[in-house]
Amino acid sequence: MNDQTRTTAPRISKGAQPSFFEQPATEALYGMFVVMLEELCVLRDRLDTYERLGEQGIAVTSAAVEAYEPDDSVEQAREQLRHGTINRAMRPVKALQEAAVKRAQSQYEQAARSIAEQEI
Amino acid sequence: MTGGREHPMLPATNHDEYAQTRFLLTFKNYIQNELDPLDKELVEKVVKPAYEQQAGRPAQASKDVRKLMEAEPFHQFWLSSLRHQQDLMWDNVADSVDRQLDELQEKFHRTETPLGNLRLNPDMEIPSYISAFDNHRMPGSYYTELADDDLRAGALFDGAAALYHVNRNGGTMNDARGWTMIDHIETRFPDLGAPRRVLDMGCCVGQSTLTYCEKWPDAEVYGIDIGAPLLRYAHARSERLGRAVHYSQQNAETTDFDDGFFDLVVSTAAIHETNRPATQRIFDECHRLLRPGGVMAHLEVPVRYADLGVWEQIRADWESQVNNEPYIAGMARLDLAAMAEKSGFRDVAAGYHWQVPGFIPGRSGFETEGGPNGTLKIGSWYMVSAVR
Ligand SMILES: C[S@@+](CC[C@H](N)C(=O)[O-])C[C@H]1O[C@@H](n2cnc3c(N)ncnc32)[C@H](O)[C@@H]1O
Repeated sequence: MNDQTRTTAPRISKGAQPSFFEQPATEALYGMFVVMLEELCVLRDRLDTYERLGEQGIAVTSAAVEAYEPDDSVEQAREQLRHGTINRAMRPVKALQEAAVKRAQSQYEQAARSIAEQEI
Repeated sequence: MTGGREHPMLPATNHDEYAQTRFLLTFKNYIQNELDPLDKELVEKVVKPAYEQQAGRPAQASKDVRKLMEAEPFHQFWLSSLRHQQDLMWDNVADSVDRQLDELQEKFHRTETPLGNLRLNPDMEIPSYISAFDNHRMPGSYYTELADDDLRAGALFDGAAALYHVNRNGGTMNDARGWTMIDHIETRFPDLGAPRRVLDMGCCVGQSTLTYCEKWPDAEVYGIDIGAPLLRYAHARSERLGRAVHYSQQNAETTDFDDGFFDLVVSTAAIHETNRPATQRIFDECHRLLRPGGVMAHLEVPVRYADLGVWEQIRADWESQVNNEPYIAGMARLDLAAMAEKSGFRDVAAGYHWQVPGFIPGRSGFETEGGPNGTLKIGSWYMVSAVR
């Protein structure tokens, strides 16, 4: 055995654990957010499986859920739902980008205007 | 072409584990298709002009704008999204693998009538470029062993590759790198013919290695890697897929094979996990291992800083610095062809080879120029190849 320092299967990688936000707590919170988003989407797929089993008149047991195989159209419908959920969740993040681009553009327009005025 | 085939060593997913993989794929695509372009726009419209105003010259490299970008809240979310989707992927696959680890270990023990073999060396030292951090943030990396005959790292790596790179790198067999390597060899070295002995350096779980067995059924195929758990898994996997591979635990910098033993020595996506002196030593070792006229070829990530725009460099920096692949940024600036010449090789070339889904006779996918307007040449691999 090569690594004596690890006795249980490690779940955190060795190396950089960077915080990209000003506060490390924000980094941790965003990590939690991504996990919750995943849990939500997983639950939603499970609910969808329940409904589809129901439509086929199959009793919802854990064995029936495990045996269920989504076809392509089911996969597509689920993909659309997931995309929508992620997109709604990320809207405030996209808004940050939009605001930064607008701010920069108005700064340059202003600078250009004042230069133009100087030249008159 | 073995594309979408499931194989009996692959960890299975239950209903919810499968749903997790679907979420992470959607999230990953969302970052790539919808957040990446916004991040690039931030570079172009906000940060580049601000840099030019401050510095009095246009920004030319990611290091110029790094500070300014890292202060942008949107970019902070972008960096963090990439990181958390990577960490969550390993965590999800680890849950799934640990749930069925006993069964997988049992399968390894029941591997019968071996076609190939497995030779481990518990005394082999793990090179520091592997032991200092966990590559691509995979907890435990390639070599951690917690029990006798541990193959967990192999199952983790194969599970992640099969589930998450499904549509990009050749289905659950994840073998597009191997087929691209073969296409490159046939394009560049038509006279080599069918090799008698092939060595795959850094073979990992044998995803690429098996393509060489399929392409050259009469060849003896060898695979080496530093990770014992990978090799155990690779062995069990290959045997179940009916392929004969001789696996051994060795550092590619110094192997125990005889001089001139091989006609072909290759690696796929392995060199970027080493470092500069090791790369030179690996090229030297390839030279020693090849018979005169034999071929060396290494396939790598298609990242060359000189060919990339500022945002594309920022993306590559993430792989390098956050995803624990620090040598990507170093290797992507090195003249690998000159290094191969230094090791004594002739007919050296370096460039991009388009990925192929399977071998297509007569196709030439080798080009030296980078992508248009500094974009990453997605769908290609960077090759350096030469003749001994
Ligand atoms: C990302 S994996 C590539 C896997 C495989 N070649 C493929 O295409 O699927 C890189 C592999 O290179 C191995 N590696 C890195 N440095 C090595 C060295 N010096 N000698 C042997 N193997 C090495 C790692 O252990 C890891 O399994």
